[in-house]
Amino acid sequence: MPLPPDVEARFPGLADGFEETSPEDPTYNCIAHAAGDHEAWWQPGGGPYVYWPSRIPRNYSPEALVAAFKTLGYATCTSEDLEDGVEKVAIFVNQAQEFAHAARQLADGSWTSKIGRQEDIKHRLRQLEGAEFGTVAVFMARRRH
Amino acid sequence: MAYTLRMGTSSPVQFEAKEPPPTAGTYPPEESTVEERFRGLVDGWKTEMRSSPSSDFLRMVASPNYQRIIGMGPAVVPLLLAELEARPDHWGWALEMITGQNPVPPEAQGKMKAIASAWLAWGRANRLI
Repeated sequence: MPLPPDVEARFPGLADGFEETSPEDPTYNCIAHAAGDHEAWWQPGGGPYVYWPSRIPRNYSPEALVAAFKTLGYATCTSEDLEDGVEKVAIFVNQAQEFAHAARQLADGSWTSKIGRQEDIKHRLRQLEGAEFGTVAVFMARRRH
Repeated sequence: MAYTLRMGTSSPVQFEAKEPPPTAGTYPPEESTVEERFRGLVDGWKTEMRSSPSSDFLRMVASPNYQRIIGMGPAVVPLLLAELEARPDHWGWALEMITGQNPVPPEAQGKMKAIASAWLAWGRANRLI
């Protein structure tokens, strides 16, 4: 099933083209997808229905998400450029200075994102910048497994 | 529990009902069975979720359709369990709100399919499915 037109319309940058790489799946969300976890719904909070790494601040500050990715071996870096043997994630921050999305770099230099409950897509990083997700504010990197 | 209705949006979340509010004389809708009303709300919720790029769990469970399902009370627990078995989705919150129970083990936290399994085991133990 293609990405719904009303969702696609919220990301004008996608008009340049993108590739759907998975079916719709409500099991995991964008942060989980960037983290490489397709079993859980990553979101700051408590209770049984969302997952957040233990001992990480349960709020939407970019620092909290950076701390969450650090539990996976990522460290902050300064460039989105593709580097041999390195896997990167990009954190999008909105106007409220809260994290709103994360994307993960693929081995070919393109990026992969999960849009809400919908499909995973392969895209260029800046295509998702805009009113919905804000802008890319933080890069993190780790050795590619 | 603490959640914030913000992820994936740059402004405070506002919900819009996808159907007109009930008017005098139309509730309860005599022509609808509990199952028909439940099915309509489930379909409406899924349509609503499909049109949103939000990754916010609380936005999902705060939607009018989801809240109306909770409002139908214990009568829909077997229907929710059957829906959970056929098409796993985020129905654990509704089941917990209706039943006051929480059978989800700590190791299943955030894992929708494990959460569904825990609720289905609870349903079988209580002879609801």
